[in-house]
Amino acid sequence: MSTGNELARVAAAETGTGKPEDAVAPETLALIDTYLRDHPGGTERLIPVLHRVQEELGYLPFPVIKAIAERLGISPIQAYGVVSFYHFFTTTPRGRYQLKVCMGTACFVRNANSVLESVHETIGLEVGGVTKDRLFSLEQVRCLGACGLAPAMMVNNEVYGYLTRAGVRKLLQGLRAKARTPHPGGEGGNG
Amino acid sequence: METILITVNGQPVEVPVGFTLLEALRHHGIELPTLCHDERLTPYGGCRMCVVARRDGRPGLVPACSTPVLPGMKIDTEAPEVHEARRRQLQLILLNHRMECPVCERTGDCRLQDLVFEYGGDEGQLPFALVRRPRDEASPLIVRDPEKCILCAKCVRLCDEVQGVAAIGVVGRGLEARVATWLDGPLECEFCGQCVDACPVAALAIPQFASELPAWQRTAVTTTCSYCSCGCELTVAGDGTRPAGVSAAPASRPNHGKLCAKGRFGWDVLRHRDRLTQPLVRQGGRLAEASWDEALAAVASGFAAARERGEVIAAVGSTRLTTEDAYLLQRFVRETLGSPHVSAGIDPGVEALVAGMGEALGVPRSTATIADLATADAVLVLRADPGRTHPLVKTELVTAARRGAKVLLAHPFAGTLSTLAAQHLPLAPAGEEALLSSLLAELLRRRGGAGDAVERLDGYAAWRAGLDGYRTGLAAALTGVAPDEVGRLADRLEAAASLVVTVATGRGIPGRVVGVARRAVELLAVLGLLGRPGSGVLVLGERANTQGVVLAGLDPRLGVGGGSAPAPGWTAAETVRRAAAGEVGTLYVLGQDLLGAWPAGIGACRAVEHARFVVVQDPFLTDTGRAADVVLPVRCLVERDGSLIGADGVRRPLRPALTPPVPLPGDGEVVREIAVRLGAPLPDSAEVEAELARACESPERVRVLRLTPPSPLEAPPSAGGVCLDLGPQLFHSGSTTLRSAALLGLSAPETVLLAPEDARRLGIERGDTVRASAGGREVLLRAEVNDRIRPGTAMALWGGDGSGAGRLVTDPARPLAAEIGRRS
Repeated sequence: MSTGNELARVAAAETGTGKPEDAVAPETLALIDTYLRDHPGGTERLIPVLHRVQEELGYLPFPVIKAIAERLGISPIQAYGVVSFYHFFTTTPRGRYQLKVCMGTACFVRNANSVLESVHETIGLEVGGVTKDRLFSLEQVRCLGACGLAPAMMVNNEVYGYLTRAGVRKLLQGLRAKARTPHPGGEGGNG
Repeated sequence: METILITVNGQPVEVPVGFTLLEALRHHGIELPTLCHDERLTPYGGCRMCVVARRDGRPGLVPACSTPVLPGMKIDTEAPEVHEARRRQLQLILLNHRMECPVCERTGDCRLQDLVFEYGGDEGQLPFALVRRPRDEASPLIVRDPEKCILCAKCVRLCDEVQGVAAIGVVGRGLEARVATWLDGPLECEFCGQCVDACPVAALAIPQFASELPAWQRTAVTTTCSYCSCGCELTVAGDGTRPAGVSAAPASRPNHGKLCAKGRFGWDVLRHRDRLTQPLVRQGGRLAEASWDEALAAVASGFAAARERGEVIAAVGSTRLTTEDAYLLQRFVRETLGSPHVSAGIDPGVEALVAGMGEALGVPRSTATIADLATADAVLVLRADPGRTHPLVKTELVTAARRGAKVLLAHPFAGTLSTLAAQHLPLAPAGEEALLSSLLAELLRRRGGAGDAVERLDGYAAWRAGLDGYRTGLAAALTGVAPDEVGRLADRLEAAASLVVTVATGRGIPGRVVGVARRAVELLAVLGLLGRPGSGVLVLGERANTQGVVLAGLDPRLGVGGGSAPAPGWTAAETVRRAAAGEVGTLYVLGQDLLGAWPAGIGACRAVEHARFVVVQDPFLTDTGRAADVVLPVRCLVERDGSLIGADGVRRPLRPALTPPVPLPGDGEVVREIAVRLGAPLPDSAEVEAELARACESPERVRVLRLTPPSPLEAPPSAGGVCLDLGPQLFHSGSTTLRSAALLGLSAPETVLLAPEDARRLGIERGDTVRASAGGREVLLRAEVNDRIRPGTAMALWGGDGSGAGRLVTDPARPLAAEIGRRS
């Protein structure tokens, strides 16, 4: 493709019938369109719709960001500027179970590091990583607001407190066993 | 203007309400340092250089750029803590800036360097490792050096707020923050280069302007862009041999610091290999280089002989000529050669002004200006996507749409205006006049008449009767615009307190431009907006001096200043037709390539063949030049001296900002020299200037209005169910830009846009090579499928003149009935 070419821009940006790898799954487009239809307004809907889509897919693939931008009448790089600004949004796939280990002051002094170590020992994950089967991903966060339970970790939307190395191991093994049942899509790698 | 009183550095100062502190201070000539501020942009408050101390009881420093003035405010702009804050801020900026001033290309022309020199900040660097990021050379024409970037985001904001493109954005946060393109690809934008102009440091640069000479030794000449008729002011920096930068100051008018790709990058044409440096004279059947003296003697004796034989002499000039040269040419032809047949070439812009505006209002001028777009309530955009034909107009529409003005676009393809337009009417090619007529009919029906002022006019009954044909929505079938869409357009126009109608002109834009201009004037009259300040019709010429040559009298129907001609002569089209029939003995062609621009033939070939003596005056060796008896090389574009009159009717100086490859005369100088050799010198510059000053005076207000009945309904031609429309490309506007390597590097291959249903029906897929044929000629184009194009219309994006699908054009007034199919 010739670079900086007006037509490429016209064709790709104005029609959305771009390259095949830009294809977004119809159900994802439907999700975006439904959300935008139910929430009339302007570009202020960018963050909420990103939330909604990430909730569903587990992350924000670039073609999805582009599709959202086109629907809001902004350029893809503007939408990505927002995505890249907020720690919460991610463009890389996350695990089905997103582990968020609290590294806030209270957890830190109660040895949050041991929680990270235990996660690493059990499923081999480093901070920022995803297991090969995309079952788990690991992040550290500043404060979960659960200082009384320190050291604490969130798994998706649930908080687990008073964690020990053994407790972490047991929790993760339990989740892995539970995952043997087929899961309802979501992180399915649509583009 | 309502004002309030504030105290600045102990002095009471009166400032307008609603200003920011920075605006208020600059209003009074008090300067504050800034890096991220630009008066054209929303205040950003990013660099914190403009901080001032408050002395009215409130603690702390405030950024002046984003603090509104309040009554009783007391501030100190030069307190020690203010200076210290600026120094520390610079220190933080320098933390992550690759500082290499002695070898940096911007040294001496760097805002950051200036401020560090003034406030310090480079001493005692904080211990910190620069975040390494490679220089980005993936884009054409523009390179980015992210390690120099200070994240003022002016480039990002200009690209969005002013240009309406938003090809770049700030991504990431904190030290990770950087300016990026989508997926870090090469720039995919309009290549206006505004980002480079705005960059206060060396994070953005244009390699073709890199210069060994330090900034303070470069020269700068401010002139007027001579590509399209917007009339942008531009400044060319030079290092003695070539341009070391092309920019526009934020204070420039009418462009407010904006330029387009043509105006910024297109000057390499001046050194194109087709550039003529020596006159050519035909000897023994071949063109051979000759001295100026020989060539001018040949021309003079050829003209004298034709005069003696009583042959018809005709001159075809160009709308690229300067106003002064156009004036001299028409006087030379009319008085020295004694022929009334002098014109500015086959140019729809001239027709729109002379036969359109001139017939309707008695004055061959636009009645609106580009500046009016800044205040108009509604803008009706006709005949083209100005994003491609007149880039400055598009940026003004971006600004207008963002302040809430209604941009109403009637065009087969929404193109660059798709996100701005409040209403897009997917018009069939060349359907503008029919649309305006049905709009007028709708307004008359709603209002029960056209209003007293219009109804009193001669010819009202015939005009009204002509419009009746448009009453029933019959027009809808032909224009492709549903009656309720016309109704909605009428609602919007009736609601507008001020309306500008833009009528783009150009060889690539089919349709009856004269009828469109007349109907547009009538529309304003019926709406009661004719002659109102801020409303009017803006005719956008394709070439830089369309308006200027008309006012200089370079038209067989007009005298100087736009009055009627002393003795009417033939238009360019008529001249060519007569010449082809053998009625013209001598043809003098200036700045016009009759053969190359019309390869499908308008008879120019036969015209040049039949004329006994053909003189071509052009910067380049054109097809017409190759067939001429004498070819005279001249200066080109911004090498010239004189003036241009933009679409807005403002006369702007053209100063020689670049030099020709060898010393060459201007068009007017050559004409003068020929006149001297014929024994009839033309008037001196002072007399020319006196007459032009009178001719270019703007008329106080519209006094007359003449109604002309609308053209009868006519179906657009189509072949195979698809009508081929030529859409000008952004980066090209004809034979000149098509010689620019820089611009050719940006342009797409010859491409045709098809609606998905048409593509399916014709069995064409994106990327296919398709054949478009008409009148026994054919061109190959690459197919793009685009769901924003009107079904039934195929738009060939075209570079102007005889390129690509332009090779098929025989009648600029009509869309092409071309057959389109897959190349088998």
